[in-house]
Amino acid sequence: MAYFAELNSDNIVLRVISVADKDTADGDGNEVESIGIAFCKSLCGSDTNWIQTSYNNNIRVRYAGIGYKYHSDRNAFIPAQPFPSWVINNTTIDWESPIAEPTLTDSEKTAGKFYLWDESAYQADNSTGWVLTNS
Amino acid sequence: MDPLTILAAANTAFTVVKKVAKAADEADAVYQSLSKWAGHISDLQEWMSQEEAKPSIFKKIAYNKSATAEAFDTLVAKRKIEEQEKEIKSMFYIGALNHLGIKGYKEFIHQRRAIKKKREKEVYEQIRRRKAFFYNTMMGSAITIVGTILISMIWYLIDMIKEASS
Repeated sequence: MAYFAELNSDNIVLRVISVADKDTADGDGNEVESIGIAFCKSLCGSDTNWIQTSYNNNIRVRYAGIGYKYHSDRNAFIPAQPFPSWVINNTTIDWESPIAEPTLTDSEKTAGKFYLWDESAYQADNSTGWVLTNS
Repeated sequence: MDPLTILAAANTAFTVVKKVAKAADEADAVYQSLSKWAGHISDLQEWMSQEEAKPSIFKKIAYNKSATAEAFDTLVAKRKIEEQEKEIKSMFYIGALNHLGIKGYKEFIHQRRAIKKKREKEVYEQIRRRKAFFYNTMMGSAITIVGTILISMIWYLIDMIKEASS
């Protein structure tokens, strides 16, 4: 089974469909992305835009989720930016907060506390951002 | 229930959470799978707190593993819970549940707290009461047996002294 993501004109994932192996295979039985794309277009319209994704995150960094953007320069599907101050880590291709999340102490864990990112706190003071919250 | 069995159930529930998140199902389906996971985690945490609170002599009776194996189980469970909690948070912030955002994460925390409260009321209190009853019965029986033996011995000694003096 192969998976193909439909992208809009901004490269945002609109949906992901599964395609049978036979519909993505060439004469020798090898999986070819362009054959799969052609199959998706034949199903959903020639004006649609498709790209292959992997359920096991084997290609394009991660499985394409709805709302993710396909970045051709990184050849990766990347979720929407969670906060304006967060940046992409070039190694993991994940969004990263400008300040590392503090580790909860045992007593904080027992009390059911957790950290939440507060963008406005960060914008007001760049040395803060993670706020300890009571559950 | 055995902690490793609860942990296995939690792991299965966590796999479902990831699948549901990947399938970009409705928020309801996501929260349903998350609440199932949270239920198992709550059971596991309850087991851990019970183990910590148990008197050591009673631990040996109720849990037929060595202290080392038991400590290892607890450590494995704690690590796994932390890993999965971290991954779920990451899913909301930068992963497959990104569309639900921080608001969604807060909703999940709220839901988790409610599940814990509900299970506390419906399940854990009963289990604790049952365990306390079992423990008290055992202690009561042990005290009765030891007391009976002591009284018999004293009676026997008095009898012997009486016989010797006559």
